[in-house]
Amino acid sequence: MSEHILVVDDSASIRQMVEVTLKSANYQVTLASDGQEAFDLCKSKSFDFVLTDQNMPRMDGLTLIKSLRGLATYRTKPIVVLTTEATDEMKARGKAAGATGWMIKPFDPAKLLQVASKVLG
Amino acid sequence: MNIKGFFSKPIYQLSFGLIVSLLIGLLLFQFLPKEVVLIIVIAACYLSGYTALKTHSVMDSTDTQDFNQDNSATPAHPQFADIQSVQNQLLQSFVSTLFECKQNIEEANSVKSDAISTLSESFTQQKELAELQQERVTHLLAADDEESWLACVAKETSLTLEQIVATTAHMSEESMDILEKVEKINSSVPDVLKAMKDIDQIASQTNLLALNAAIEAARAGEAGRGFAVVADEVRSLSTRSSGFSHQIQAKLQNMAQQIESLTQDISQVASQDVTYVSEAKKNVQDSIQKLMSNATDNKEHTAALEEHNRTLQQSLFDAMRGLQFGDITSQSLIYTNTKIEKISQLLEELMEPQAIVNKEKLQQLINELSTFNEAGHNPVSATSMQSGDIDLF
Repeated sequence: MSEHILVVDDSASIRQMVEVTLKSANYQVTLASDGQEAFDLCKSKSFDFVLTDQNMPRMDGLTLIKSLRGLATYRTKPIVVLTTEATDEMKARGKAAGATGWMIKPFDPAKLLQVASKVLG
Repeated sequence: MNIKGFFSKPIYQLSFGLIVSLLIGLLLFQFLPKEVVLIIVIAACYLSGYTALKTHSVMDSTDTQDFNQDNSATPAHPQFADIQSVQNQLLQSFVSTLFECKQNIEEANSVKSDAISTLSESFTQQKELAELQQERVTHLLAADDEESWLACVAKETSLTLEQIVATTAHMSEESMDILEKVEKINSSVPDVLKAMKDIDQIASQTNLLALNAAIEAARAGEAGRGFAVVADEVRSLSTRSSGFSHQIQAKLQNMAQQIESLTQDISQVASQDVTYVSEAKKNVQDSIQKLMSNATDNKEHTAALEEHNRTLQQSLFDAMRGLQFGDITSQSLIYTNTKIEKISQLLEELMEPQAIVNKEKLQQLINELSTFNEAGHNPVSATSMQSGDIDLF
C-alpha cells in the first residue's frame, strides 16, 4: 500500500499539479482547499504526509500545523509548507510552529517528489 | 498666511497639486503598472493646473481680491466653493480611476484563472499520454531484447542449415565412393566374359578332341569300345560345359547391363551440384542477419523514443512549474487590490469637506496609510518562474 499524502492549497491549479506529480510516483493523494477542511479530514484519517500552503482562507498553513501537532497522530508526521512566502521570518515562524520543511513556489515537480521521498523515507 | 490664504494663491495651489500628484504616483508605482501610474499622474497634474488657472481667473475677475487678508473667508464663499468643487472633481477622478484599475485587475485575474484551468487540464492529459507511450515503449524494448525469440530462431535455423549442408556433402562423397566401386565391378565384367569365352573355347576343343577320340575308338574296333564310351562322355561333358558357359555369359551380360544402368544412376546422383545448398544456407543467413539488423534498428528507435519521452516528461514538469504563475500572480494581485482599496478609502476621506485643507486630517490619513503598509506585506517574493528554495528543518 503506497503512502497517503494530504495536499492543502486554496489554488485549484496548484492542487491539480501537485496531485498529478505525486500520483505519477504512485502516492495516494487527498485534496483539501483550506486549513480548516484539512484539519477536519485529519481528525478522522491518518495521512502519512501533509503538504500545505500558507496563505489560505478560514485557516492558514501555520495554524493548521499548530493544530495538527496537537493531535497525537500528527505529533511526528512530516508536514511541509509549500508557499510563495520566502522571508526568513516566515520560515522561522514555520519551524517554530512545527513544520518539517519549507518549499517556495513555484515548485519543480521532480524536486517535490524528492522531498516526498525524503520525508517519507 | 493661513492654509486658506495659502491655497488662494494659484502658484502655491499648483505646486501643492503637483507634489501631491507625484507623491500619489510614487505610492501607486509599487502596485500598478507604470503606464497606469503615468496616466494617473498626468491627469492629476492637469487637474492641478486647471484648478490653479481657475483660481487665477476667479481672482482676475474679482479684480485682485486678496484672500490672504480675508481671514473670515469660509467654505461657503463662492470662489472657495468653486475651488473645493474642482478639488472634489480631482479626487473623484482618482477614485474612479482606481475603481477602474480594480475592475481591470479583477477581470484580468478572472481571465487568467480560466486560462490556467484550461492549460492545467491540457497538460495533465499530455502527461497521462506520455505515461501510456512510455508503457508501450517499455513493452517494445522487452520484445526486442537480444535474447528475444528472433535471436533464438536465427540461432536454431543456422544450426539446422549447418547440419543439412554437412549431411548433403557427406552423401555426395559417399555417392562418389559407391560410383567408384561400381565402376570397378563394371570394369571387371569384360574380363569375366573373356574368361567365359575361353572356357567355351576349351569346351569346343574338348568336344572336337572327344569326337576324334570316338573316331579313333571306332577304328580300333572291339578294343576301342570302352574308349568310345569315355569319348562320348567327354563330348557330353564338353557340350554341357559349353551350355553352362553360354548361360553364365548370358547372365553376366544381363548383370553388366544392370551395373551399367546403376553406374549411370549413381553417377547422376554423385554429379548433382550441392553448392546450391551452401548458397541457400548463405541466403537464409543473410535474411536472418537483415532481420536481426532491423530488430537492432527498432531497438535504437525505441530507445530514442524513450529518450524523447523523458524529454517530454521534463518539458511537462517545466510547463507545470510555469503554470504556477496563476497562483503566484493571484496572490500578488489580491494583495495589490487591498492596497488600491485602501487608497480608494483614503481618497474618499480626503473628499470630505475641508479635509484637503485640514492639516490634522491629512496627517491622520498619512499615518493610517503608513500603519496599513507596515501591517501587511506582499506574500509573493518570486520575480521569476525558477523553482523556489527548499529547506528541510
